[in-house]
Amino acid sequence: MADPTTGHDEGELAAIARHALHDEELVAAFAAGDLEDAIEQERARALVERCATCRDIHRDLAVIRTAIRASGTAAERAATMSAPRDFRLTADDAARLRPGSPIARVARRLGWRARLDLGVAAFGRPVGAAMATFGVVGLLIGSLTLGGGPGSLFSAQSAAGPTSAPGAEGSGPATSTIDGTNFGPAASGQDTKNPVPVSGGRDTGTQGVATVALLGGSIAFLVLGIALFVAARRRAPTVAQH
Amino acid sequence: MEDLRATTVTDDPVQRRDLILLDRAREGDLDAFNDLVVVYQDMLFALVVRMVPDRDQAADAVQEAFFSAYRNMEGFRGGSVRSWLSRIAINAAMDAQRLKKRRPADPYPELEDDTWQPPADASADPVTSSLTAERHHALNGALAQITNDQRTAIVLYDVEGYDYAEIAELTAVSVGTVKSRIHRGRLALRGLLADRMDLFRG
Repeated sequence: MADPTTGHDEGELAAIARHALHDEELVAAFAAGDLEDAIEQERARALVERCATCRDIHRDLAVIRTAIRASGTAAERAATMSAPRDFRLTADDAARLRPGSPIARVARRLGWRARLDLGVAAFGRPVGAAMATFGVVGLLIGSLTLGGGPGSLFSAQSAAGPTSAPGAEGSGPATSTIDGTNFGPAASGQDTKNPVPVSGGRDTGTQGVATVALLGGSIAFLVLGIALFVAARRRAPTVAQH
Repeated sequence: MEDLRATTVTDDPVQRRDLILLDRAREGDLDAFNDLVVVYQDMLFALVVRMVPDRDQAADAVQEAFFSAYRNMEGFRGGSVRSWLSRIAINAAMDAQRLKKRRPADPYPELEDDTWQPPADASADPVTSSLTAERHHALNGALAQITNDQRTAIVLYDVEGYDYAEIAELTAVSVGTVKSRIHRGRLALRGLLADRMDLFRG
């Protein structure tokens, strides 16, 4: 019996309702031959065989694809159609787009940029990885030295005793720091104005400076190494294409 | 020392000519670059106008593409100059699409591409020629109405013959997304052409 509003009979309505549950994109992928999974292929084939609407979609998509392909590539179309304007660059455009000093122009002629790109692409990854590794190792060593391992800066200081503790002057072992030099415990009865340098105090200060330098250098190595590695990864596919 | 800018030696005379022109352009010869522009401007416009179905915007995108190519000549590392320019033009077209997307109040007109018709077979009768033209018009109208992403993927894959991986790289999405855009785009075209499918089935 036909539906008075749509004009479809019950069978047609049932088919439409059934099709509403079907995956049209699956059918489209099947029509394009893009389904690699055997189960999905089987599902799509079943839809096309059993559902009239899916069958129509499958057929229409093939027809549309053929029509699009027949519409001509850009190169084919260029043979019979012209660009609406002349896209040639003026001298002003050129100056605006590639400004630069005479030195920059000479460098451009020498192709330094291409050389740099190729160099980075070729050696950037191993060199970058090595630099980053050095950076990490340096950071570890630096933090151990700074942070309290055996022979660290702090442990050397703590072994020497508290530093200029208030009220501790002349009352026991203490160190004071004058102009960055650590001084050991003042001798009993000796004026603190004439402190006796502790053996190794100057070494500890030098060690601190060296540790800070090591940490700074390690961070720089790590950052540069990662940047070089990333730059090489970005350039490598482009270079490889050619 | 060998000049690293030197590009791959090729037997193809067209490619060799392009490489020579580009090398000269990189050395500062603007006329050499403009020779390349003259050679490829029609082709790039034909490519871009399929992706940006508005002739003025397409022309702007092509101009931008040539500006970009001139600015980035050092970035060319051999291969086909034509492919390199096409890629730059495709990127410029996608930029134009993005710009358009920000101003949705002004939708694309029905593709203003009727200056070109598919070449008719010499032996084709007037009815067939007329049918071909009508089919072409209907298809262009429908293409202008699907989403930018779908149109770009369909034009690059079905018309220009790029493969899925190349399109994925160009459009910075996954291969799966490219396939999905193409399938959905074709389904959308079918919906838009529903009343005129007889034109194509015949």
